[in-house]
Amino acid sequence: MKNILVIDDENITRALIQICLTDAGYLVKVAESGKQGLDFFKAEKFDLVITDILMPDKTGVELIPELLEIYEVPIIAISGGRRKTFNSDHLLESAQTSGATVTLKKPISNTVLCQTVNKLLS
Amino acid sequence: MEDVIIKNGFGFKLSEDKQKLFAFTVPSATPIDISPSMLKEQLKYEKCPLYVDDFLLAEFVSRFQAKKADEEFELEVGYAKDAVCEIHLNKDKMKASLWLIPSFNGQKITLQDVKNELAQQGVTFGLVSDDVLSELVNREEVDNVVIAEGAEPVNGVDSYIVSLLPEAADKVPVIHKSEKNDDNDVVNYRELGDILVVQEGDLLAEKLPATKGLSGTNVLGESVAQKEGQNLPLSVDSKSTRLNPENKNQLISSITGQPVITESGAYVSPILHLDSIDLSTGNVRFDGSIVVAKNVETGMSVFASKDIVIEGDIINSKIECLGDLFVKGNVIGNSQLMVNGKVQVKNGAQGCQETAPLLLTPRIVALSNVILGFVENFIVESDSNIVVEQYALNCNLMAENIEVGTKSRKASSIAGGIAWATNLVKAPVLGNSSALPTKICVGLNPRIQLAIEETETLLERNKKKQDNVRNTLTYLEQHETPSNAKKKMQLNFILSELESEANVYNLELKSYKSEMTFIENPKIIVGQKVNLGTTIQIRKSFWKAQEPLAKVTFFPEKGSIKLIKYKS
Repeated sequence: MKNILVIDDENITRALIQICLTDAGYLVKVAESGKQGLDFFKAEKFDLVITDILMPDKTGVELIPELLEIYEVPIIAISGGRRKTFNSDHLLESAQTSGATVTLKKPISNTVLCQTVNKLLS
Repeated sequence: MEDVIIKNGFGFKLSEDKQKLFAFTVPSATPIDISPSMLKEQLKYEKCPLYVDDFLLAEFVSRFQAKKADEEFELEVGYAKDAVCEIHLNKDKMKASLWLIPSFNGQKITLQDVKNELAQQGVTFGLVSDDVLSELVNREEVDNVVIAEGAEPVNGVDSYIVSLLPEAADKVPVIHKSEKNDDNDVVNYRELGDILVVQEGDLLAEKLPATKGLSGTNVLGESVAQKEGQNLPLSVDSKSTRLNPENKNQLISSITGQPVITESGAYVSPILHLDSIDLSTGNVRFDGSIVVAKNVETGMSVFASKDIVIEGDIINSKIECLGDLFVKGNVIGNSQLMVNGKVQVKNGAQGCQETAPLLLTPRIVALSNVILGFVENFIVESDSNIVVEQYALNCNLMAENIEVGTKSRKASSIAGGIAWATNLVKAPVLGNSSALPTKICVGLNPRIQLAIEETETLLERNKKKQDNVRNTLTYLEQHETPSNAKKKMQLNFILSELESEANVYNLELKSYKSEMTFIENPKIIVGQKVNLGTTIQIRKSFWKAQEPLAKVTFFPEKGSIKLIKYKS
C-alpha cells in the first residue's frame, strides 16, 4: 500500500484529504505543521507528500527543498482556501520553483486530488 | 653667376673648371666692413652654383678684417658637391624616411641610387611604389618623407565577461483582452518592470576567451611580436552560481535571485534590493527576500517568498510575503498586507474610509504577531497577537490577544469598530467622548467563529439550490417528454454535486466546531476609562456602557459578565 504524508496546519483540509485518500486505498499520515511533517518524513519512507504552503512555523516553500534533500519524492503543493486574500498563484509558483512536482489551488475537488495522486504514483 | 665678381674691397671668382669658388681681396681706399652672412647673401644673389662652405667663408672674413691695408690674398670658400641621399629608420624600425640634399654642380641622385641605399640598409617591407620614389627623386630636395612603413602588430584582447541576461527591451506589456472583443483591451504596464530576476539554471554570463592577436612586420621585413591577450579566470561564486556543464565558459545561476555581472564573472543575490517599487520596476514577484529603500507606490503589487523590508511607506499597494514584513514608514490608503510571518509597521497604518469595487480594502493579515505604531480604518487579522503602541481608530481587529497603548503617554484608546480577541483585550481607554460605537469581544475564537458563520451561509445557500433543483425535478417527473428526460439527467447530476458539496460543508462545520474550544479565562482590561457607546461581549453575554466607567476588568462568571476594579 502506498504511503502518503499530508502536511497542513488547517484541521479541515487535513481531514478532507485524509478521508478522500484513505477511501481511494492509500495509507495516509497527517502532520499539522511543517516541522512535524519534516520529522515524520525523516522517520518513515513516503511515496508522496502533499503540503500546504502557508504554515506558521515553516512554509511549504521552505519545507519542499528540505524534504527533497532527504530523499526524492513527488510533492503536491496546495494553497488557497481560508486566506482568500493571498494570491495563491504567487504561492504556487514559488512552490514550483522550490521543487514541487504538481501544484493545486484550494478548494481541491476529490476527483482532481485522486486523479493527481494516482498519476504521480502510477 | 659670372666667372669673376668684383665688389668694394673683395671679390669672387670661379675656377676654370667651375668646380671651385674663391674669395679675394680688392684694394680699397676706405676700410670695408664685411661679415660671413653678408657674403653669403651676395653669393645667393649672384646665384652661385657651388656649395659655399661656412667655415671657409668665416675664415676669409676673419683674415680680411685682420689684414693690413695693402695686403691681398685669396681663399677657397666654395666647391662643387654631389647630391646626398639619406635614409633614416625610426627607433622601432616601423618607418623609413628619405632625405635628399641637392647637388652643387655635382652628381645628381637617381632612382637607382635611392634603391641601392634602401638595399644597403635592408629596407624591404612596406615600400612606396617606384613611381612615388621617382617623383621624390625628381624633386631633388626631400626632407624626411616616409617611403616605407611596417605593418603594426595587432595585440590580443584579454578574456572578458559578457552578460547572457535578457535585455529589459525584450519584455512586452501584458495585454488583458477585453471580454467584448472591442478596442478596450487593457495594457498592464505594471507587469513591465525592469527588474531582472533569475531562476536556478538560468544562464548568467559567458567568458569570451582571450585572443592571441597578429604579429607585425617592420620595414626590414622582420617579424614584430604582438602582445597576447591574457586569459583571466572565470570566478564562480559557489553560493549562487556554477559552471554550465555543457560550456565551461558559461555561468549559470544555482539560486533564484537578482543577478549581478562583474568584471570576472557573475553572482546572484538572494536579496532583491530596490530603490522603490513603482511603474519603473513594475509589480515585483521574487523568490527570496526584498529590501526597498524608499516607497512602494500606488497600485503596485509585491510578493516575496521570504521577508520584505520597506524603509519608506506602502501606498495603496498589495504586499504578500511568506516570511516577515517590516515597514519603517507608514501603510497608507487602500493597502493590503498578507503575511505568513509577523508584521511590524514602525509608524502606523492609516486606511481609507471610503472603498470602491476596484480599490483594495485596507487590510493586514498575518499568521504571527502584528505590531503597529497606530492604526486607523484597517482590518487587522492575526493568528497570534496584535499590539498597537498608540491607538486603534475605526478598525476591525481580530487576534488571540489585542493590546493597545503600550507605548503612548496619552490616553490611548480603541475607538470605533470591533476588537475581537480569543483571550484578552487590553487598552487604557475604550470608545471615545462622542460615544463612538465600539465593540470589544473576547471568549470566542474570531477566526473559527467567522469560518463557522461563513460555512453556515454557504450551507444555507447550497440547501436553497438543492431545493430549487428538487422542485424542478418534481415538475419534470410530472411532465415527462424526451427533452425533459435529458434535462432530468443533467439536474440529477447537479443535485449529486450539490449534495457532495453540502457533505464537505457539514464536515467543515463539524471540524470548526470541534476546534472551538472553551476559552478558560477571557478578559478585557481597561486601564483608564470605558466611554459611552462601548459594547462588551464575553462568550455569548453582552454588556453595554450606560455611563463612563473608570479602571475596570471585565470577565465571565456564571453565564454573565462581571466587572471588578482594575488595579495596575
